[in-house]
Amino acid sequence: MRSDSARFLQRADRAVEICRAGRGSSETSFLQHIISGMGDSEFEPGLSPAALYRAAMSGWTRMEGARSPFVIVALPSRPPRTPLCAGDWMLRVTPGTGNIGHVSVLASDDLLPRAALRAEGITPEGTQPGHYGVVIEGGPFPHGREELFARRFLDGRGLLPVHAIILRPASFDAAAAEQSGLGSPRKRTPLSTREPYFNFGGAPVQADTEDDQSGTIASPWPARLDAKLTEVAKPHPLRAAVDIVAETSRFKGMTFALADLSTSGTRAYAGAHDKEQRFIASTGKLAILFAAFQLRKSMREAAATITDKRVANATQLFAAVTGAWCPRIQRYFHGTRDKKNAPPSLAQIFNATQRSAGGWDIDFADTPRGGEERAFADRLKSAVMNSNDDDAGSCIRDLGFPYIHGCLAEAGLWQKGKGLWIALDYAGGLWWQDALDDAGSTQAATARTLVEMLTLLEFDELVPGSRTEMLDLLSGARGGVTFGVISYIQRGVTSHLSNAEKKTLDVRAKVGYTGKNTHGDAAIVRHSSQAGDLRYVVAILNGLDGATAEEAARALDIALTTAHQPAVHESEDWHEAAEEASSASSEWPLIVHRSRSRAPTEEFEPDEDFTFNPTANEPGFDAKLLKGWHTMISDTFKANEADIAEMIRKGLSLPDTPTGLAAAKKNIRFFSSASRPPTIALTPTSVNWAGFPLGRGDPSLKLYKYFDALHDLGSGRMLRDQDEYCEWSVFRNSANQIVRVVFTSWPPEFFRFLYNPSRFVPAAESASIKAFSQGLLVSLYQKHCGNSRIALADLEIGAGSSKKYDSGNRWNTEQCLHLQQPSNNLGAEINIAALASIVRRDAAGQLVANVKVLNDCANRFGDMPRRSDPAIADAVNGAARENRFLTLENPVGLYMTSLDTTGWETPDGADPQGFWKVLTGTANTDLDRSMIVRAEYTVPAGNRYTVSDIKIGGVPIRFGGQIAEHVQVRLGALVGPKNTDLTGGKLDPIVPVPCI
Amino acid sequence: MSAPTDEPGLDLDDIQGNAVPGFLKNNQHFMFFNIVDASAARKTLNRLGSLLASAREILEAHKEWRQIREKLGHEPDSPQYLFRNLALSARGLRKLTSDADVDQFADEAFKEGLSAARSAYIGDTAVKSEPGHASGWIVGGSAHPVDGVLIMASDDLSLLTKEIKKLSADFTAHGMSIVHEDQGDVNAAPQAGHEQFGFKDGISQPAIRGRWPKAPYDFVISRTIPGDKAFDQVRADFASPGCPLVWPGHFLFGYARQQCIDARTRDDSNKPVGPAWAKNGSLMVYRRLRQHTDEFWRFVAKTSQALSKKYPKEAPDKQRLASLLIGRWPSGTPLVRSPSTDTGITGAGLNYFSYAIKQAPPLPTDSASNAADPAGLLCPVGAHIRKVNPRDQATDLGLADRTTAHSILRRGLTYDAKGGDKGLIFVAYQTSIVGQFEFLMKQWIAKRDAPRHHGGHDPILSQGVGRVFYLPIADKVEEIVLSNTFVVPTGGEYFFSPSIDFFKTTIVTS
Repeated sequence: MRSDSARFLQRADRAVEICRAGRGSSETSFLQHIISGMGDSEFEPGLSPAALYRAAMSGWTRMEGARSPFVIVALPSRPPRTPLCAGDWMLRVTPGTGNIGHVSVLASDDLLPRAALRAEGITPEGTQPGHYGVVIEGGPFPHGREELFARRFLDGRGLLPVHAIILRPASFDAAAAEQSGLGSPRKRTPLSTREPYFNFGGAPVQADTEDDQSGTIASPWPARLDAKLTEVAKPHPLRAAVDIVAETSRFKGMTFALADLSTSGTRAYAGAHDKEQRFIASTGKLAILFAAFQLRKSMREAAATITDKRVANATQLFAAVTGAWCPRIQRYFHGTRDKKNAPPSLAQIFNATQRSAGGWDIDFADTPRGGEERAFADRLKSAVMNSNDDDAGSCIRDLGFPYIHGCLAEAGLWQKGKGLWIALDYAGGLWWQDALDDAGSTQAATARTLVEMLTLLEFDELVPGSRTEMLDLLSGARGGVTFGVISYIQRGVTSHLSNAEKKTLDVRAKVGYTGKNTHGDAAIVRHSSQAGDLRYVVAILNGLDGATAEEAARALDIALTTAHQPAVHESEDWHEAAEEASSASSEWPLIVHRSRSRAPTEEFEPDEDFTFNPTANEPGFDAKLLKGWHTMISDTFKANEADIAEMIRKGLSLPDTPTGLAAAKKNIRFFSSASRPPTIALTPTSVNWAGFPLGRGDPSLKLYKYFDALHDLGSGRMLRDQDEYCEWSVFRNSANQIVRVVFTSWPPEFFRFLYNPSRFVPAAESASIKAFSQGLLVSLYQKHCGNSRIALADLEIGAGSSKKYDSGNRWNTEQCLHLQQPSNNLGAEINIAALASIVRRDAAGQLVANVKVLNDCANRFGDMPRRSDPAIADAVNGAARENRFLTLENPVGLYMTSLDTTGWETPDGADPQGFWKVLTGTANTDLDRSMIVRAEYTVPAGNRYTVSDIKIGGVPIRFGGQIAEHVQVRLGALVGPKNTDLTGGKLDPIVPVPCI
Repeated sequence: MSAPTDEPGLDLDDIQGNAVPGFLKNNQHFMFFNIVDASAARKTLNRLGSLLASAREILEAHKEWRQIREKLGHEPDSPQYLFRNLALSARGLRKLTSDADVDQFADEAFKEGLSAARSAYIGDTAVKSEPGHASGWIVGGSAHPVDGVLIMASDDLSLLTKEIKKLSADFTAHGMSIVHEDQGDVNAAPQAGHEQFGFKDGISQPAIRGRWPKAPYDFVISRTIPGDKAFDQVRADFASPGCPLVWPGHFLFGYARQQCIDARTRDDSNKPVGPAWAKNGSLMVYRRLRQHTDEFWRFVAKTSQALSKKYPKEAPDKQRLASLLIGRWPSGTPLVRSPSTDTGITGAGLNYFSYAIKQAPPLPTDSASNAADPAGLLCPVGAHIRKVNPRDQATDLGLADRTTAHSILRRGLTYDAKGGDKGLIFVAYQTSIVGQFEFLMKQWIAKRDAPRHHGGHDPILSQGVGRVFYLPIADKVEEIVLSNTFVVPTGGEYFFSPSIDFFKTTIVTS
């Protein structure tokens, strides 16, 4: 890594810290931070990622006359012009949204295939195959380098995804900048991206001055609100309860806020990441609820202050109030001229009738107005209670973003660029786009803001006098609706309560989610418990999925209950007790101490007798290292099982609850022998293919040459591009004759694990185990490369804390020790097997057997042009379709089985099979038991001829690929009997998942 | 103006008609020759160029023949058709053109020729002393190299005999020597249209995509899948039931092949590689396969008997066991559609089935059962028809779409040379012998675990020791050792069947 880009990455990491610290968490602010570090300050201050993307795509025309500060490394749907490297920026935009964009900084010099990420401890952003890189990024979900979060930089074909561009600061590479030809160093003009506007992200919004013409008409705004929360610190039980949940690995990345209102007169508060601005999806509809009721209150107050007798009907009333309010609301206009930039449509929203005794009766309109098919009251109810997006959109349009934003700002629920914010109308409409940059997202909030708002509501301090009505609209969680609304909090809490406690449960919630890592909920919760009556307000944001959000809610409720139990925290340190409970189950921190609580994973208790052995039964592992390897493979299985459980749950439209997930799991046929040891005999079987790749075409002279050579696969390193889980290197003599061809199917995970097994072994023993495994790593290299001088440093890449194992190290590349083509890895094997085990049906109800169709159904589980991936998928899905359980053989690996030398001729008539030598692993006459991971084809020196003198079907061997065509590779699997579960019982028929 | 379709117009006047659409004549004479005097041979072959049967001529003859049959209500007795095709081995082409020209062919197998080495490579015996070794072949191989073959075909044997005599004399007198002759006869087997073991043959053929080059641009190979919307998917992939549409580049030089994993789409960047004059030509495999029918039925009887001792209730009788080895009943009825008895399915239903999923929708007049058979419980995975044509199942190559790229146009017929020498004159056209014929022989027929794992070796065409066939029976899978070889090669060579224009012009200027 270059020193300039290393410095830049440090700066980017600091920018993330700044974002986290609450000093600006938006995409734009992160961009500004990293731009400021480029030493080129002539960017327009409000430059957003989307604006930068547009400028780059338009050839920097917005920077007319300027020398580009960037080199374009890759354009959408194109391969990179040069290998990507650390410090490159990926800008992505959401098409059609105008200004929604995102910037990620690539934090490492190499990209990894998705399937390899898990073994590296890297969390990918999604499930699509392709090449991922660890990133540093800001925005609502910031990621520092150490978090090992990866974004997809290139697709499976090495092309940049659409709507993305990769830039490299020109200062990193002057030579690259020269090549870009993007202008000469003339006068610079700052990027101009937008008109001036009211800066929500800047200084706090000032209360409007009384300079309007309304004089005595009441203000449209709420008063500044204060939820009066008292944040507690350790060792307060509430603080400990929140901490123990927030620190659970399963809930990593989530934010929590909890106000405990159980004790009269106190509003104890604790949160975790609770001041971080996060995407909240439909939970943002709370803003509509607030604004609507505030408007009604303000309208009633305004009407009461109108004394002009010329105001005699509703139309006149609305006109008078609008006229009086406009100057105030205009403060929250954003400079656009569209119709959304308008004050509330009072006539749309309200019924107003003049009382005979004077004054006005004002309420939400209960009859349709202005072309709407339904009345505002109905639409508001539907928007909040049923979370109907269309109705939310129409309510927003009636209220107007200026009024909604004004309410949030005036109440203090949005301040200093943080808090509750919406700028998408949920119905496909985007309001003033540039404002989004300051909110971090189109629908965003901090968990704390949500808890503050609901606390105010609970005490009728939000819109005084409206509590009951507003709570009614949040009653969906207690079953008050017909469709559309779930509450993770309601479900999570319910799942552990006794029947008696369930009867007391009252949850008023607003849930929100749009996809992975967006599952959140905010609620007011009341129920009785063993520890007495509980009453609290809670917000949980950014759960991986619904089940995770539910589990977090459940954990928090249990923790809070425990915190209220005198027996626990009076007799012992509560935190220690909780941690002790946590350590008893890696999955579930807070449940084991309650007898009626049962972890969802209990049914898959690990089998202590089963151990995943290292690939090819490598003998050098000691017991501790073996256990670490077992953990790594077992974790990979578990993660894949969890993924397919969720895919099945969604595919079958099962509820996002533990019950729904359990129902989904009944249709999983892929299993891990570690989690679910079978008590029945399984039948070993194999999937076979040959080692020569066909993805680029049938074997030909051109392809023989191609595959024998090294190639830059996007990382800037010269690597093998043989992608059938079998790679080879050719050794030639000075006469260019082949003297030796070495083949490997040894997976890269094996070597990465040896380099750093720390994540899979006990922390206390990590250092000693790592020292042992690194010794083993080096000794394997020394042995197989025949060089005792190879040292650990020869196998590493990076520096300092970024140092890691390098699959592209010189020795592996030269000596073909293990697989290095990015798609060749164990993770891919397990992933393909898991995903392909999902049984699908088409629209006509027929089971899908065509692998290509299955692949599309499953959001792609492999590379279809390969021999291996479709063959594996076909075999796995075929077994699952027959309602059989299946797993991968132990030790998990891709193994060469044999070399077919039928029709080969040697100059001296020697048996050509005699020159095939297994270097690592074992050959077996039963090919289904062969476990070869490294072998060579070479003619002993005494024979006085070379491999090139051997002919295959009369054709001399000129390339290693000619031999690879005849190397057989296999994946081993174990398959159960039809319709039989793993203990010999009858297995229910599988319910196929619709393929959409 | 190009044809109004993405399927290309085929140069039907230039393509020799045995490749497309195939002669389909009862009597076909194969006259193998060597070139003694290249100059004289060029003149003779040039003269013969105008007498070669083009694809257009054959297509029109077939149409006329069908019309006559329709009028008569039975097959015409002796229509005066006489078709001629010429093909040259790499050895022959080197004599008539140049080494440089021939070396431009990408196909290593063609350039190498069906030598003893190549024969061993595709699974024939490598032991010189064993029957079937190329050194003992009566035509081709190391002992009897061949430069070319003239194929003459007619339903009228006397007409054919006269032509053979005439052309034989002509060749001999003008720079060529006749080295071997084979007489193919569809009636050589006990039942016409059946091969020597007694099974109906030639049912499944790939259908070349392409249109007539002029209006109304009809498809060269008729499409018979019903036009209902329900058949849209079937129609997209098949010309007729079981006959997959294959892009012409897999059979003819000068045309595009399919995209590697999308059989419906052509890849214009993937055309067969050869000299410029190879356009409209095709590589032709000739194999003289002697069938040991007695051996076959003895093995079947012995095995059936052994199975009946082990599985008294479930063991197949002789005929059923033989059918399990083939994948069809003697009538051609596929086991997938009629697993227990030979129900004698006729018409389009004879070839309307698949393995991975149940073939659907049903054909209008086809009431026979149809079921998916992915695991080979109805028709063993190792049955001959599944080994060489796994249809919709994924294989060791990956996606099922890849299978069509390995298909061949089979144009063989039976022979009976008396003295127990009877069998099949195997003729197949393709543009890559390595990737098509040899692939089928070496990678699927001769391997136990391909195209599907544990399918076993092809029980009919594989040779050598250590071969097995897996027979699902009574909820078990019985491993049957294939101790005998039933089909033994007695001749063979790889040829190139050039365009008609090659003989008319190229050969003169070479």
